[in-house]
Amino acid sequence: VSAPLRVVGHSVPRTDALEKVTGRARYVTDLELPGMLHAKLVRSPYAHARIVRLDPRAAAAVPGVRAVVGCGDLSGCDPFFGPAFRDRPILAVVRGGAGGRGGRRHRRRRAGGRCSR
Amino acid sequence: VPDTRTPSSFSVSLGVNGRRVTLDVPAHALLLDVLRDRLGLKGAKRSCDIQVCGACTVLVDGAPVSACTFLAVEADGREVLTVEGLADGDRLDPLQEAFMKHGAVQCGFCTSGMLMSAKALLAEDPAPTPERVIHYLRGNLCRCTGYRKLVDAIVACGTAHGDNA
Repeated sequence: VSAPLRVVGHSVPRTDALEKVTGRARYVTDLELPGMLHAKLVRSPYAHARIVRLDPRAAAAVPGVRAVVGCGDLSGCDPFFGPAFRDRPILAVVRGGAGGRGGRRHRRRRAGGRCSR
Repeated sequence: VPDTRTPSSFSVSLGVNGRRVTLDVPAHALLLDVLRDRLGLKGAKRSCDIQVCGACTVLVDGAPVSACTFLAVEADGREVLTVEGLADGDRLDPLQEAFMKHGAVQCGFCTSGMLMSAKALLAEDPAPTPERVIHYLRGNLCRCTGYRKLVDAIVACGTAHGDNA
């Protein structure tokens, strides 16, 4: 009544297994690009809080620092990403941006919707 | 009066996957950075950076070490084996074959370290029991939690190795 199954019931080898067991698989941390910069994430010391204000001046003054990027710098792109639902902020997003106009908690956008900046 | 201060860099000469390598390294250089950034061997991964996760495991004179907390100068005069040196050209190590066959590879970030620890284990015990494998791999974490298949692969490899011997 049906053709023999070729996948169901069989152990299918991973397409990337060979790269991985030989150490040849390249991860993001293995990449070296011309002029590549390194980023240091500043994480909130609080489990749940509003970002009222970001003051990048001290960080920007450190020798060698090329840029300090906060959510207020993401106006040129969609600040959300996600494999299924684009609801994960690239950087912590505050409604009103880094300037912190009022510091109201951000609202996450729904998939397909617009960011509530 | 001789300058007795610690020199800022040392010339080290070590075997890496059978190749003799001589290079100057800062006193504080870690073996992992030398392998990854100076020698381009990216197979060993930096993950926890504090000798907890085992992703950076390489063998130094056959013994598994966390390259993230191992000074490059300590490897002077010794033989280092990384995942890149496991296969003999296109001929894979039986462990690499077993990992693929048993589905012991998921995201792959722990794979290099797992393989190197398993390599050391099989050198010590050619036919380890599952319990022995589990105990030996206690320093290698798999965040995909694919431990069962890792243990299967290593046990099968050990058994096959023993049968062939």
